[in-house]
Amino acid sequence: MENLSTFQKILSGIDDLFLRVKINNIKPEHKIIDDLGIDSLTRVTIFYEIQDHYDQDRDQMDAANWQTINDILLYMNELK
Amino acid sequence: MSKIVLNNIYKNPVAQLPDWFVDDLKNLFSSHDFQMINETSEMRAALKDADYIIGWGFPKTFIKKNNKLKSIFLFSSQIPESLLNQDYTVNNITGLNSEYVVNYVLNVLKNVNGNKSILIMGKGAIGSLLSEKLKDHKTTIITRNPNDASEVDYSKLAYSLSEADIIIPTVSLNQATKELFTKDGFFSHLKNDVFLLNIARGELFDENDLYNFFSKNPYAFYHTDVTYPEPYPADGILKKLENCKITPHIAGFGEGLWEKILTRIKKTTQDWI
Repeated sequence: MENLSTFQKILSGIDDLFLRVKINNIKPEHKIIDDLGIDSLTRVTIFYEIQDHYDQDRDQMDAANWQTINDILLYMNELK
Repeated sequence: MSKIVLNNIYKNPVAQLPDWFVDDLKNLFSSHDFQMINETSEMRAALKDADYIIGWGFPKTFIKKNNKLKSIFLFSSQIPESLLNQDYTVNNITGLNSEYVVNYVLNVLKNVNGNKSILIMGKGAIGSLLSEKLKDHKTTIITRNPNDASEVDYSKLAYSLSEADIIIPTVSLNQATKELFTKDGFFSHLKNDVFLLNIARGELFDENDLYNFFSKNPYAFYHTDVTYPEPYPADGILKKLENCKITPHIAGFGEGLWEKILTRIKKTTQDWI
């Protein structure tokens, strides 16, 4: 599986990102809304930053069902 | 022909753009490629090659590959740090909604005893107007550049917090201001019956710090018009607090606001047309 540090590196490159947890303390089991406070716009931002990282251009609906960081890591693994 | 994008993705019911406002903008930019976007799914395609962007804030991600962007006009009182000092210019509505925000605060505080000490954090357009309206109260304003007896600088933050019955942050959101509102630097100094009124930004506070303080201090109260995220989730932990009231980011809106914004847009965008 794509590792957490790659995801944390992607997050570190996003401007004006405010999370409830410091990026280095993010864990796969964290819920993206309840634990990190990620709103819909930030979800979309993270989605496109991941697309750019893997040079992909998929539909943002792919991000609609993300519940946890682990879901995002699994998704990144598909793109790798 | 320039591409001008009106970003209308904000879903807060009180923030919906009036039809006449949109029509006026369409007329104003009728000789250009004018596009309005209503969904986040439209943002990437619309913003990547826009010459001008008007509307609600958006993540910088969507313009990082845009090399032709000339100017942005934001419907917000704050310009994000990441948009400062760029090749494009950024304007906003600062000052236009101060009156509405201040009226909201005054309404919340209308039954407050005049002996209560009020601490206003920040001296921008809202902080300045608020201090003027509350001059009959025992009010202190904390600012980087104090210039009269009612103002102190941030070296007095701990003492000011410990003396305040009511605290009203009006600061903008950036890394420096976020560091003001920590567990040790902020919450540890508060009175156990403090009234904290947030009309600034939800992101200023760590929600766990808020929950811990207000759950342990039942006589304190947190009234906030701003949360992170917005809208605030029905099962968010602040909803578990009996001493917390949340309003859905309504303070900055009122009759006549869109007329004021349109006037500023017309003035600001004269060069575009």
